[in-house]
Amino acid sequence: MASLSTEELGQTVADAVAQRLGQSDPELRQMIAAEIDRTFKEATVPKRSAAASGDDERIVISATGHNTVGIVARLSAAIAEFSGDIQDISQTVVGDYFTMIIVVDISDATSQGTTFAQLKQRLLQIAEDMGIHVVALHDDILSSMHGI
Amino acid sequence: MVRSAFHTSPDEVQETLRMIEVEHLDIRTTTLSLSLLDIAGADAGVADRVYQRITEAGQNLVQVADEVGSDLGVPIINKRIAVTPISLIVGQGNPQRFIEVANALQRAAEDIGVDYVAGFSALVQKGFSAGDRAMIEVIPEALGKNSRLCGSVNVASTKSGINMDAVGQMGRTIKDLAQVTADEGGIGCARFVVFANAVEDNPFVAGAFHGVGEAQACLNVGISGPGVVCSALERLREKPPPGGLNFGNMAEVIKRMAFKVTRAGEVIGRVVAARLGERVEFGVVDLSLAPTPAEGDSVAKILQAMGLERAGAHGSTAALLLLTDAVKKGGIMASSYVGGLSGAFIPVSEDAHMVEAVRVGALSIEKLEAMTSICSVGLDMVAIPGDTSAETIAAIIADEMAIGVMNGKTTAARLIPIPGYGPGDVYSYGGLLGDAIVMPVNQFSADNFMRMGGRIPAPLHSMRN
Repeated sequence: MASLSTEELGQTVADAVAQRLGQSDPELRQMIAAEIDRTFKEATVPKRSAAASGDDERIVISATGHNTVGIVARLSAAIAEFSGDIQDISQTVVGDYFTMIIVVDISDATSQGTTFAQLKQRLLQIAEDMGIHVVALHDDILSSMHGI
Repeated sequence: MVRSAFHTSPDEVQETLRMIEVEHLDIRTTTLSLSLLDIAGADAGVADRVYQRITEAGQNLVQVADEVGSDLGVPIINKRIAVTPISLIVGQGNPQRFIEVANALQRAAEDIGVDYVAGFSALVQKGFSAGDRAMIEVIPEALGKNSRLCGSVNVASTKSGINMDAVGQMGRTIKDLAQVTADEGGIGCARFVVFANAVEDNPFVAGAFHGVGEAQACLNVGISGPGVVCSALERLREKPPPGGLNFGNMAEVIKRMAFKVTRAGEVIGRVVAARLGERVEFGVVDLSLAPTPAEGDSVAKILQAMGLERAGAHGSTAALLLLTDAVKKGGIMASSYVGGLSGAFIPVSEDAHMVEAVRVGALSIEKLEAMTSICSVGLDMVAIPGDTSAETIAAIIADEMAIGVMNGKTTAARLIPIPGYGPGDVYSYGGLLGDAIVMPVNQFSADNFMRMGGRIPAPLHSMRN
């Protein structure tokens, strides 16, 4: 998929969708293709610029507490709002106890001027609302403590 | 910087979180160490120049350290300033100027929001200069009324021997300082250290100062972490390795923990130094395990986790050897720039389990002295009866200096003769200084020995038995 441009991707997906739905209206296909293209461009362009600068910035978020509806949803919504890219999630529920570790690349957020401190504050606010415990820390500390 | 792929396992993430949240892993201090040599003088403007130097260089220290602590998730407890020994900065041996500089240091500390500024210090291991004499003369007044000011005097070194005139004077200085701050349990003495072989890059107060061989400005970091080491040893005891528990695998566990704690210190130090601007260099990580009165954050408890009933029991010196050495080995591997005091601290009042050991009679001042022969840093935060004579205090210091001089290591004495208090009494300072329990001292006199003047010559360095 990486070899497709977003235009080609939009066209391919639009064609596949139209075929499944039995639609052959070329104008509709074109609209869908353009919509997909735009969405992908918005989502991927800042990431390319961050990758180009070679400045990945990773944080680790841990959430623990009693399992309630919406923990993952609310935390990931906040992360998305700050243009964080979730790279990995590990999650377990033991009994009614919930623990989750999320690895997030926040280089897009920082390249747009948002600070880790702002994201952290939002996450801690959510934690307080939901009665769970959230810790967010920069990966620099983990990499240096656990790698040689 | 291009980072590699994320390689920390969920177990390692959880271990880190446990270290921070449960086991009190923190950075004890980030100390901005500043040279004042270029602004020295005998004129009336020297105090203002000192004030300006500190407030300009250190204005962002607290904010930057707090931000870095928050970003990296490891709290930085103290932010401090160390300066060139003030005895070198004020010319013409004018005591009044020294008082003005002391007040300026206090004002600067208050204005930039650091809890201590250290370096009201003199180096007199071989003799007194005019500046040394004038500064030492005003120590009780300067430290007594400036609550954020810390001072130290180096009275001995392996290469120079022990300046016994200075040691004798320190006995009187400590008595006077306790008297000046008698309302607060002689708290002034908690901010004053007497050293042998003082180091130039120690980030820990009260003994910090900026050595003459240091750069213009650097940032030194003091790690903490007794709680982390203690928990790891307790887990090892609960779940011994297949071959059974032995000293080798105990040392291994301590080394691993020291490595991680030191790495945390190094990365934090580098980030803080970088954010303070290009004129501030990263200096060293001081590997000392520094306890706090918080439950579990105790070096004495580590000795208990090793199998001693209480710190001070026979075997404590051997246990401390294993601990101190393993901490150094793990830490050295983790950072290329290790310095400062780097050992295990055993400040009595600041370690709840040390206080308890004294209370139940397990730990005496004599045993503490023996323990200081193999770990940094000396008789630290030891409360003694308020009526102890200046000669006896000086004799306690002389013994401690002898250990440092003969063994080529730093030793120190931070003694508090609490006015009006006797053996077993407890004075609660609160905060990091904790609860001081008064330890009895030997009642036999050393007066005739201490009243002789002069120096004890430097020791021989061969035939070391």
